Amino acid sequence: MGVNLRELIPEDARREITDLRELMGKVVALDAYNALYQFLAAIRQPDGTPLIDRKGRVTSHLSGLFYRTINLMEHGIKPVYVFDGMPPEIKRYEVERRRMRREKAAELAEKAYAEGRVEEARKYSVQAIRLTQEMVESAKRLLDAMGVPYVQAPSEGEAQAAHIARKGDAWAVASQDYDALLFGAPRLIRNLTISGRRKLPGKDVYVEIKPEVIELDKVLKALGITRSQLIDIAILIGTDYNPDGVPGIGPKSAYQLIKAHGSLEKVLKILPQATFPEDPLKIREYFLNPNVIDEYKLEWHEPDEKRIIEILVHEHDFSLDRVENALQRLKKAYREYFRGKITSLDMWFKRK
Amino acid sequence: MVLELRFADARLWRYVLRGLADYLDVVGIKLHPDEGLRLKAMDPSHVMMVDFIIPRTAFDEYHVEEETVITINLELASKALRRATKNDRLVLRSDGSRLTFGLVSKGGVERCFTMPLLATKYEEIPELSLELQVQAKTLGPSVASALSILSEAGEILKISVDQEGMSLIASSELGEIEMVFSPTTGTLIDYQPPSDPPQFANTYSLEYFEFIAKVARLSETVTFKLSPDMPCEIDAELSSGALLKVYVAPRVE
Repeated sequence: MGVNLRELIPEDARREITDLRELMGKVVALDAYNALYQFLAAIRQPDGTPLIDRKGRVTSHLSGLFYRTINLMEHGIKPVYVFDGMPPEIKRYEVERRRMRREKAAELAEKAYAEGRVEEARKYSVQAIRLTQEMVESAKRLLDAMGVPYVQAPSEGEAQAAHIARKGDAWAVASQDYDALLFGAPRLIRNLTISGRRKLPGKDVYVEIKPEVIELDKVLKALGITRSQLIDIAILIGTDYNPDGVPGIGPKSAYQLIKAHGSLEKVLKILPQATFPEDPLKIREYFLNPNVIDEYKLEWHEPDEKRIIEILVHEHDFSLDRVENALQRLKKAYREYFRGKITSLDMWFKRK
Repeated sequence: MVLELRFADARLWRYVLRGLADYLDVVGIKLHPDEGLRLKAMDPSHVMMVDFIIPRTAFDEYHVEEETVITINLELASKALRRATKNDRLVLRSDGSRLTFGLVSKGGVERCFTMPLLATKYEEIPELSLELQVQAKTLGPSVASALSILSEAGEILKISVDQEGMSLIASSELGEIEMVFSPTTGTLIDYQPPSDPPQFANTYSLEYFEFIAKVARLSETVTFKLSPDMPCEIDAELSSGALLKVYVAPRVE
């Protein structure tokens, strides 16, 4: 879910990517859970139920992962997926809350389907989405077969992805959540896995969603704050570790409070009524020093055609024709952008 | 801003703008009262840069009051010009808010297409700093035909040069095609071979040469300029002194 910093991000810190070729040659660390949830929510049958194979196993996440990753690679983008590990101790309240919300939504969806209220059922079934360990394992097997690297984070995937980007091993983190910025990612790309024409939830309205890059340095500079202060603002609004934030305090008030008083400690002195499920200073400490690893390999390999067909067509009943067509695109992308590397003209520009 | 230009070959504009529309949505065209017109554009991945220069003298008529930049939607412009033939002259007219492309046929009939000018901010593309030792000059239609054949064979273009001449090679899993150009066979009009090293080969993504293939068929001559592991510069000499320079960054295998 993550913190919602949208209102706070200044316009000049945000840039729309009109053509994915702008990201050619760049390594992008994708928050795998975030992407898989997006695929599970977006790739559905008309009645709202996810795609399934003949054994009743959900395959929406594999469909999204396969076709979207190929689409990114066709534009020369080098994807690396970062998977969540164990949630940190400070997230237990939110983990429990999400579990309960999903169970409730699943019950409501079932009831709505039984009563023929399809639109309502569809809404609840999206809320009831759960990414199982089996789905995660099948996604990793597919990535392996596609020759796309993934990193298993010890804890939060976004924290690990931000760490990879901070070290310079990736150009940006891709996620719908803003948390990567709090974890110190120099750049966040939003809407990378869901760009295109999308239906607004609950409405019969379609909008064109384009990816956008948000630069941390520009955000901090424009707001005149440090990363630690940005985290303090997020804690006041509400993060994954204190989802309710401080009641009555939205992004603008939180920003003004931190700007005026300097730190969370000082703001909390004037907000004695504020309560948190976890020590807010521990939350800040976690954003600043999350549990991450340095042992990972980012290498792209030639796609293994037979294994991909085995996983998608034989195990999960995907159409052979569609998979083979996509494989041609994947192989072409690999030959063009991964076996060798295209340089950019930027290195030959005259220096001013 | 008021401008009115007349150019002898509308088809040239059709090919250049259509080729650019495959890579870009909008483009800025700079017009100078004395120096003429310059269109400089770079694809979003910064692998290819196009520098289209038409000196004032290349126009039949050239009336530009002050230095100005017009920004146009390439898709619209190329649609307007898609029926331009070799017998059509091009008229460009603008009052500052709209741009009219006029196609004047041999009989003097003018078909006009008017579109709004865009208010997008013009970003100056910096100059490249390249010293390229090899120059291989050949005929435009030969290059167009070679690139068209090569594009069917693969996605990677290898340009190999030695003391004898230049080879364009495309390969894929299916095989390899090599087109040899040399002064001895008359396929190179002019050739300055490599000095140090005496032979080398660079590779490029063939897709960026599709643009050149389209325009080369209208060019009198095309010159490839190369150095080891450097971008390739391709100069197409067009009618009436117009010049199209295309730069493509190399691949590292």
